[in-house]
Amino acid sequence: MKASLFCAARYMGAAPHDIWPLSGEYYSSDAAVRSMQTTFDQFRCADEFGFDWVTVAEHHYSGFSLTPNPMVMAGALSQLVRRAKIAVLGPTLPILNPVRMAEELAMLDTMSGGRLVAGMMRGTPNEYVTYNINPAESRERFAEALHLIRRAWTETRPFGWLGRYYQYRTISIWPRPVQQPHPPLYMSGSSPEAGEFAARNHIGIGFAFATVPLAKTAVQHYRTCARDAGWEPAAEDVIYRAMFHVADTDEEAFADVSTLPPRISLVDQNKAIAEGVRQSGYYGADAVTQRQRTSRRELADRIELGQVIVGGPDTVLAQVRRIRDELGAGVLDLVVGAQLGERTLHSIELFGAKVLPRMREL
Amino acid sequence: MTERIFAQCWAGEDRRLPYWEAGSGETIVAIADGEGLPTRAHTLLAERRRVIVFPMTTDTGVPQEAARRIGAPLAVLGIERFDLIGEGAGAAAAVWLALAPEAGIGSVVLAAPDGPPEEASREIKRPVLVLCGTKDGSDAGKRYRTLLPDCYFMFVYDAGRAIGAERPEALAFIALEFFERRDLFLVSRENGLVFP
Repeated sequence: MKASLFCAARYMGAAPHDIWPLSGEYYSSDAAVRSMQTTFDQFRCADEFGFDWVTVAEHHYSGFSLTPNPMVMAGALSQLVRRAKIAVLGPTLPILNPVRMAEELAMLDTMSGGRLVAGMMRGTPNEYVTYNINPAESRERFAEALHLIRRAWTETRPFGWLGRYYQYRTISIWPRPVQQPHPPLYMSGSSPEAGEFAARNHIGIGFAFATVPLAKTAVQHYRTCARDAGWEPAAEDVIYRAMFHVADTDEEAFADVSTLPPRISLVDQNKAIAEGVRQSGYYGADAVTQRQRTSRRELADRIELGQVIVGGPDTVLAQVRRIRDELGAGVLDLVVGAQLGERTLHSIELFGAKVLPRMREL
Repeated sequence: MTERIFAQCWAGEDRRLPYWEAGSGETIVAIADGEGLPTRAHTLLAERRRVIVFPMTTDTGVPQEAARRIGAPLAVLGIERFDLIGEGAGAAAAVWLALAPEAGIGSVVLAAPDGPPEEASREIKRPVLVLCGTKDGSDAGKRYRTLLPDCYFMFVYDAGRAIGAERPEALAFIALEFFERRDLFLVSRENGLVFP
């Protein structure tokens, strides 16, 4: 089993984290620069301590993440992180220009010497407000954009595209991916529709802040659909993301995380957006599951459900083993949950030194 | 003929070659697979141009013969200049028609061409646009692209072999763009203004 470190580049200044969009009145450039440097330090540490991947993602208009364009962060990491793969999990595909995505991802694969992992996401629903895209079009835009990106990566001669949502008269991207035929692809597997699409198109799946029981059902569905499509997903075709914090002892780790605010759902911070997205049909057949996934919970429940991995190295390994056994996931995407300065760096070091070597045997 | 509703007519010395005609203005000749004609794409084209649709059936003969049979009534109808669409099995006939020295053809669109491309395609002197559905398992479109290195090639997303029925708006739109602007069709002239 492999491990990835996901730093969202959370804003470290004083600002509310339960408002979306967050007003720029709270913004301090000094704090933002400090946040970026802290993020770089954590990624560098993960690379030194053996993490297999580092992960970046796209979020807008919030202190939750200072990477509205994760490609920029990934470009920096391609030079800063020397060994680990760079996982962009991912661009919010339906709100972006797919040819631009194909170009930028190919550029990242080239800059990193073939270390790109390309996640294609629908994003959190509030992101559709960012560039004024109708969330009702989300799945169709996603599907078309993904097909187009694959074509852009693999067609060696110029071609045009007459889509339903995208139209280009001629496409011929440079640079082209180092990895052939293209970098490994992932998408969210949370909904039944997504699992079926991923299986049909031979794409890996990931779960962000799901619960182990929900993810288990979804993985089973994905594997069944993949078998129907004539292939068998490998362990590495399933990524599970959870918040983590490791300390030398369980007591220290729990003390560290006990002060954390509960995880919030960005879309739920704005009732108008939440209702507008719901009415658009964005969630498809998955509305109930989505609500379960993002419900507020106490820390103990979040640990029990596999949303948070916390403890000393042995405790954390047991939690990781459970995720591996329940889901058959091959990649654990670990989110820096507690921004505690040196203690967070120590958490990354401990995971790399004392958990990861034993995790690889799972 | 100015009606946008297609009328079925008969051509040829024995009046056994069916065709459909609608619209007004400069002429588009479509040679298409015989079933389900005219398609929605033909109707959309007829909103802007005169459209004459010939079916490509087993009765029409091999492509070269079909081109000759279709070319003759066009002359009788007094059509000296036209743009040409070859769809599916009609693509090969369209190629032969485009090669006829007397044919006053502007540009050629080959939509989901069927079967191996005619070697003679290399001799086409007209601008050619090849369309290939992303669900089309055939490699014929790409073989035409190889044979015609100067042609334009576009994928039609979510379409298989019957582009005119599956993505009629897309086919009609790009065909008109290509017929009206030829090589310049590469440059969009769609209005991006949101509010004046």
